[in-house]
Amino acid sequence: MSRIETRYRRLLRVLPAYYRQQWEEDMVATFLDSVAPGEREDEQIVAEYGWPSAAEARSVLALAARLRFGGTGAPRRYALSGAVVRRFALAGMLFHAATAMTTLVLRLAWPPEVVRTAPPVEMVLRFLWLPAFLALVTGRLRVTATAAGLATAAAVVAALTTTGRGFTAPELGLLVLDVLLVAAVAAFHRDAPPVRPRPWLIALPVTAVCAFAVEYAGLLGDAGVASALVSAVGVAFLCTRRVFAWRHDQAGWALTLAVLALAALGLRVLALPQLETAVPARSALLTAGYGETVVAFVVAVVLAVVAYRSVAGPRAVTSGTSPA
Amino acid sequence: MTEQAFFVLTALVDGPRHGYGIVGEVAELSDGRVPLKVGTLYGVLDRLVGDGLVAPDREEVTNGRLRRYFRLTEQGRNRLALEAQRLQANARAASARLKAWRAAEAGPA
Repeated sequence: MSRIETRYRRLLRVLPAYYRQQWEEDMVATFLDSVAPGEREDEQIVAEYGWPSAAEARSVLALAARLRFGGTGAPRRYALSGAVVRRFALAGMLFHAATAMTTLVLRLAWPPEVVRTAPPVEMVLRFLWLPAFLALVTGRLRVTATAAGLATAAAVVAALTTTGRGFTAPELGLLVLDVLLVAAVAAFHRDAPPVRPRPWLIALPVTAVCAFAVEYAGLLGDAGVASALVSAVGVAFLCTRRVFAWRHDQAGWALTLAVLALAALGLRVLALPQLETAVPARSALLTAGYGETVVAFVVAVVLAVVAYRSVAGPRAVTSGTSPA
Repeated sequence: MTEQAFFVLTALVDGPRHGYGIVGEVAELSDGRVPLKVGTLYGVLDRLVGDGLVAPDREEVTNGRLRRYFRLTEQGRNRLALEAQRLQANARAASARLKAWRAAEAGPA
């Protein structure tokens, strides 16, 4: 086996096993035909020292995203992961879009000398998440990827240049989530069921108002708002999972909310040391921060258990392909 | 139907081809506009085989490499014919409107 074949087979490992079983040999033969069809010396050199081109790698990665984050007609496991990743992207961008708005509104409540100054660039650039979210809901994926990518890049630049102190732990946590959100756009491929815009568009002002209420009441920062909102939605799901629309895809929703709850809990825990230094010991705010962490932990655990049961259970009712 | 699927079906009209043969034929048919990468080709083929428009034909071993050939099914031929008619109708409609517009533009002058 030539080195380029080994390298190509290694690349193909991103594809699900069931797919490789059916197509790997064909793909390898076609690839080798295209790069080194014979025994000529230059072809031998390519076979030994060449690498699959970036375009070939991209085509395999795009295929992997389509198969692993499946849509209509995909095997259940992949349809489920597709539904979860798509909702994770929608919920994450919804959160960013809503908090970008509330942060700017809340700023008006600050002392007049601050309000009269121009808002910091990073605060304005966070607004890029709003078009990213709206474009995702309406199926304009290029706009989403561009706006979300720019927002993420802007957050990195702002953290490195404006403050000059590098990243704090919560910033780093949020950045990892942002990168995952941008990557998750790949799950909205042609086979994925289209997003139903209405519920997500209604969720935007609702989330903004709730985020405003949480932040105004407790000033707990992004991590606090995220875990409070996800905990609230998680509890609502656990209480009503047999009633509302999510009863059609309980496993998918339980898994999505479990993932979101774990992410929010992670952010909350990372931000706790900052809260401890920012507010006096034994203050109500610190107690609220700890209380919120405990609630987020309990909700995340219960959601994870429910998700595990509904995914693994014999009576699992999910299409996994219902619209996000 | 995507443009890629359309050209893969067209490439198989005159007989079965293997993967690399399809890549070459599609490049020629599309004047190089549709360069199929291997990942893309097998994404399209997997779907066409799943939809029953294309079926695996024979297998051959050349230079120690397995070559699986694919052929167009009857259903695939019908779908391609329908798609070609649809594209033709679209092109005719656009051309007719453009012709009328040109005539109107040239008229008053």
